[in-house]
Amino acid sequence: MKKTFRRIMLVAVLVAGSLTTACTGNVGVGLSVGVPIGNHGYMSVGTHRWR
Amino acid sequence: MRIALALATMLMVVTTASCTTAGKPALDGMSFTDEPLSGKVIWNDLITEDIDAARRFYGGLFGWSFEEINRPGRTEYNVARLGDVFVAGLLAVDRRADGQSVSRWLPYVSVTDVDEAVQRGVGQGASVAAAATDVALGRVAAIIDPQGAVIGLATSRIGDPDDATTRAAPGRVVWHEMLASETSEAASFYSVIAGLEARMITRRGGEYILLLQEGTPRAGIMARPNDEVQPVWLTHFGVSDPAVAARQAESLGGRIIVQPSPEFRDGTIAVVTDPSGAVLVLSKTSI
Repeated sequence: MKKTFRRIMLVAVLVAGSLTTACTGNVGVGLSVGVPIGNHGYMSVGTHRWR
Repeated sequence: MRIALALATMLMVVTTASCTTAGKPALDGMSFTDEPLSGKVIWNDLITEDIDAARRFYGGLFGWSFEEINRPGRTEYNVARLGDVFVAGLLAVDRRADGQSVSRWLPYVSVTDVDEAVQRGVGQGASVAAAATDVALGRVAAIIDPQGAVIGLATSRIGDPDDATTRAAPGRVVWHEMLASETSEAASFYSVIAGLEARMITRRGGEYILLLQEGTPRAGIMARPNDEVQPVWLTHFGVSDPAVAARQAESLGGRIIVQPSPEFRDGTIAVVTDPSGAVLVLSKTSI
């Protein structure tokens, strides 16, 4: 009886855990894109174009 | 036995209820549309060569908190929260052997079919920066547009965050803007791959292109300040006072590229970098 109780609770905890993981796992991308962005310093030249 | 079944059922029901509503994840404070909002930026990732410094910087500047996503065998990835809303992701990457920095903010635009959008982009002269793949959010890819600006494409599996969820506020992403070498050609490209409608407007004597999705402005395109600037998508973050925020960014290890000034969009924005060199725009936003 105790063994059955433990098994049921173990399954329940595992299912609940996986549901929680899926819940927090619904956002985020995390895709690595290794493209150099160049020299940002030049953005300060010609700021009159920022209308 | 009955007690065990009852407890187990209660545990699963409580967990499920806290996570889903009508079959969708009920991320507290966030709501999602049934249909994709094609053309809207639905996620932003920071790709960074120093994730510890990035957490300190963005936590200090915007009040974000961070949750690490468990990804065995892959580099560290955090999602950032502001209150109840997930606002962005932070991805750790290794430095390139040639020393060139790859730290950047990368916006992800909603499309109905990522693979198809990539193909359309390639057909228009884009190249693939990261092939289509499945991630937590859904299916994503990144392309380099014909002018060299990198943009992400995403099809969310849980719907797109609605406009109430992504409303402008300090500490949140509030706008996206491309600095283009050829503004009209850029507008045509994004019309083709994301279905955005381009509308030219005149402000302060200059031309600016708004990209609209069913009448709602989603992003802007302007001519790059000078020919040395590589075309790029910039992510704007809301702040109460750009001048104060720029100084704070500097004190947190960032660098000010463009100080706010009356001549520079009426003093409403500042351009800074974070500690690893990713550029961001601090944009005046009311609460």
